[in-house]
Amino acid sequence: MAPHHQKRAARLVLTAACAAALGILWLRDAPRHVSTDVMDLVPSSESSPELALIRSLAGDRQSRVVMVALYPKDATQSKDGARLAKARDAVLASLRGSGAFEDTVELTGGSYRETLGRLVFDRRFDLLGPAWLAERWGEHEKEAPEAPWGPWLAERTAARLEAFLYRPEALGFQDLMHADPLLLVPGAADRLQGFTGAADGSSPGVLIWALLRSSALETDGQVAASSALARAQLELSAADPGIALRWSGVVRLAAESRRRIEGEFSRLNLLSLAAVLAVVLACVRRPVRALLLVPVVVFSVLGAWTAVIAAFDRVHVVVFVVGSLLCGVAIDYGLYIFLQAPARPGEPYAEKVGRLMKPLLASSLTVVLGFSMLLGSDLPLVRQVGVFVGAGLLTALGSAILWFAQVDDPFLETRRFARARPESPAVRGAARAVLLVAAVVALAGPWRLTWRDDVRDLQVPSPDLEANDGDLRSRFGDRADRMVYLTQGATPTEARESLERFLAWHSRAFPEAGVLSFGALLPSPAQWAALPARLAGLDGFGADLGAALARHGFDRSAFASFGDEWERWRGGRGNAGYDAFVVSLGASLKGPVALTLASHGGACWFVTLSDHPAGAEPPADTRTFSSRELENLNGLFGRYRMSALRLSTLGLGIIGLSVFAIYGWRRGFGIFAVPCGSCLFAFGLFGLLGHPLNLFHLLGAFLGVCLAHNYAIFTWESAARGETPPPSIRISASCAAASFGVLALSGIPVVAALGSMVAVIILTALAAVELGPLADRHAGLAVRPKVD
Amino acid sequence: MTRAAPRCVLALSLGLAALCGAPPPDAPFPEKPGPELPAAGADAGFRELFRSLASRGSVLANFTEYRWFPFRTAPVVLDGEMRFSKELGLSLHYLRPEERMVIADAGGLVLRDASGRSRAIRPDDRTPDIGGTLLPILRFDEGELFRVFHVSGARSGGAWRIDFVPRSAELARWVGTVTVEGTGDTLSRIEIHRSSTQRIEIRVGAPAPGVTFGAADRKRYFR
Repeated sequence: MAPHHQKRAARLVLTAACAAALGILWLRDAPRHVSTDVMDLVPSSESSPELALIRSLAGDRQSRVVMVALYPKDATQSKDGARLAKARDAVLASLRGSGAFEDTVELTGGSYRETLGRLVFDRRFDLLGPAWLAERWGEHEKEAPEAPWGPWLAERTAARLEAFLYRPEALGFQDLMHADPLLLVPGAADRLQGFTGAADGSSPGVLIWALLRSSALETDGQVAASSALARAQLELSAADPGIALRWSGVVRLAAESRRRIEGEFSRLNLLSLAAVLAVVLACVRRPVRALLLVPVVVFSVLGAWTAVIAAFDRVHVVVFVVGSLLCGVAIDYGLYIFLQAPARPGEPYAEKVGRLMKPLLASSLTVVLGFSMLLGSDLPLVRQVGVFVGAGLLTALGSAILWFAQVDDPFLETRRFARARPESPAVRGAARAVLLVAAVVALAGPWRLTWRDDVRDLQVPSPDLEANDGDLRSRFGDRADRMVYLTQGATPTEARESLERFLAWHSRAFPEAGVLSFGALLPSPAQWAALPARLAGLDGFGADLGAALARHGFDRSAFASFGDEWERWRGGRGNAGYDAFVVSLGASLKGPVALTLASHGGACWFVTLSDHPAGAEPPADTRTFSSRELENLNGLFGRYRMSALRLSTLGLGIIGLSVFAIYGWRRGFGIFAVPCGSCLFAFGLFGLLGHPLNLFHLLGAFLGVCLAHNYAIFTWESAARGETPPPSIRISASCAAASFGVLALSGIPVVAALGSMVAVIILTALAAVELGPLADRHAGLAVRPKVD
Repeated sequence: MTRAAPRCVLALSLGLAALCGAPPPDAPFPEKPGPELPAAGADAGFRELFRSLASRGSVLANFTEYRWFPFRTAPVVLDGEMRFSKELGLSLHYLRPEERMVIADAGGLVLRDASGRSRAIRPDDRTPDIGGTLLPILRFDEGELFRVFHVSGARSGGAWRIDFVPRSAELARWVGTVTVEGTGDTLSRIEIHRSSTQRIEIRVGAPAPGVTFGAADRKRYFR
């Protein structure tokens, strides 16, 4: 093809490809597909119960809770109730008027306690009656099975009531007893105490619990919450500037995380590009011409974005942050083409590319093949990174070939130092020593590796907000030494049965620790099922109870209303199903207690609190998880890590086989030893440093191995032609190391993990391809190829 | 829902018994409240009485408690022994019909069953601080009493009665009227009166003289 036709065709293809990519991004409304919801990093079909719970928690009311505390700025005025009441009224009115919240409850007044008490009292027969009847039935069967059930129960009830009058609690419940001679509510009161607000009165001020209307993980909900609280703050300042307002909730942390991740995204991409350009500009003779490499990187990133947005409905922003690594990787092919001197004066571009095509294709296709293995992962994040990097590298290769096809004189000469190769006995000795140390690290270090995954590492830490959140939670009665358990089931029946097993296990595992569980107040499914049979024998119970009460010194007429209510309940309850009962009860709960029970969308769970430090984890048959496990998902991510390890190993195997197929066993081994050895060295280094690794270190290792394999191929290709390895390898590796080094500075722990791992592997690989020949210069060279 | 406050009423009602001395069952106590005492020390006779009661040391005495409920035809009766110390607070050790202990002090309430298992109920800002409010009656803290209560006094010979009506409507709703009766410098009877059908009356036996609480007593009977 004539050069001018070649240029025109290349420009046409590039323009069309760019237009197509931009069109796809526009049609797909790309910003809509970018998410900061951590749940988008894990599969929606994930069947592990702990993740189902997390997903449920994130999508449910728990994530929409906002905690607000009001207190005097001057601590000496903490008892000034009138001022606080005025401030409370102003804030409550503002929050309720904002329309951002569906529920606002003041926990420090008595109203919430009374609301909850009224609910329990109103539903006491359904809620507490079945367990009460089951207990009495057990006593009846044990003590007097021959006695008629109804009269026996009436006598036992009156005797229990009389005994209760001697207890201290009796005075507190005397206004209720005429309507509750079964003592259902007093029995439940202590078990409900922990739900009615702050654990103690040590925090002066007013506590307000509010529930957002919109999702805390979406921008709309975050804007609505922050606006409403900002307005409340202003109105509070106008009403009483001496009262402070603090607030927290998932919504605030999520908004801050989004803001920081977006900041990271811009910062890292710019820094990465700048680092890469700095390396290139420092190494070439005509720095301005080095800017010709920039479009290749831009095309590569555009291709990666387009592929990942087209392939996935929701793409987490971390993928794009990680994607900034493409700046360092995508420039590889451009450098290799651009820095390659013509084989002869006037060598046509097509001939030059044809000469370089084998190593270019070998390196890019094997890497893409390896990354395509990640598409088999269960984890959307891993699949998305696979598509992003794979598509980005293919685009980088294609665009580099096309871009330089339309550039006049596609050759950029490097500076002398970029090509320098010192040779002396001292250098050889030093190279051998370094390689020996590296070998020791690679062999000894990996045995000391530890692994720890924490889903929270996906977020950017916000120490101030987290401290504020901790303070608010402590004011609301949350404590670090309190364990939180979540028990789940596909239906309320299943969940309640699991809860029963969990409570039995807990009482054995932590006999000294009490539990707080609204679910435990609910009758068990077995008690509910037995209820019709228990009630069947209680015809005339009202009259029997009246007579028994009179015998025990009570004024039976005072209990007339109970008799009426009892009969109404007994006759009207029909054959209500257990699941329907729990769902209806859950829907009627308000305030914090509503967070301890959820039943919807084919799943149900109960929260149990217990005052003891972390210890044994509940057995699997309880279907219960501690918040400790749910907070970091180490177990779940450990499984994903193993999955990613299997896929990476498979990908590595494919790369290795490809290398062996292309270069033969001997040269293939020499090439393959560089990435594998570099990877082992990196693992060894982290192991010796005692730095725990996670899933992202593993992904980084796989990426690093793929890149290192590029450098090995290019080195051996040059050697095979009897040439000195081109400077593009050094510059390319330095670019990649700079790019990933920037990632290692990220505030997002997993991004830093990935960046540091890749940077270490690349630098090690570069050292290997540089030092190997030096160390073995006169002995046949372990790394230096022998041209066949 | 959780009735910590009424439990305080119980504890403190019993606590008031700590102030009682030997009860003359048929003493001619005034039947009706007297005129309101405008302030501490305003009435010289009552000023001396308050000072005398406030200067008493620790107390150990038997007591009998009568509880009237609106749905009972007769009061329930409990017996036990009580201990009071200005520093440690009040400890009511019920012995009949079953053993139980209620301890009221500055930290709130402790309920302890016969096996020794305790449950603490700390005061909070969700209900009126009834413990903190009524404990001054046990100590006859004159300044605090007149700040929190309307105080009225009546005399009939050597016998007297003092009525305490909380100034706070919320506290009054929980506590009602506290009436203390006695003769000379001894208290004989205390009544906490919410309504004609809801009241507690405490009669206390003769206090043991010169009581001090050692380490073992402190551990067993106080927080």
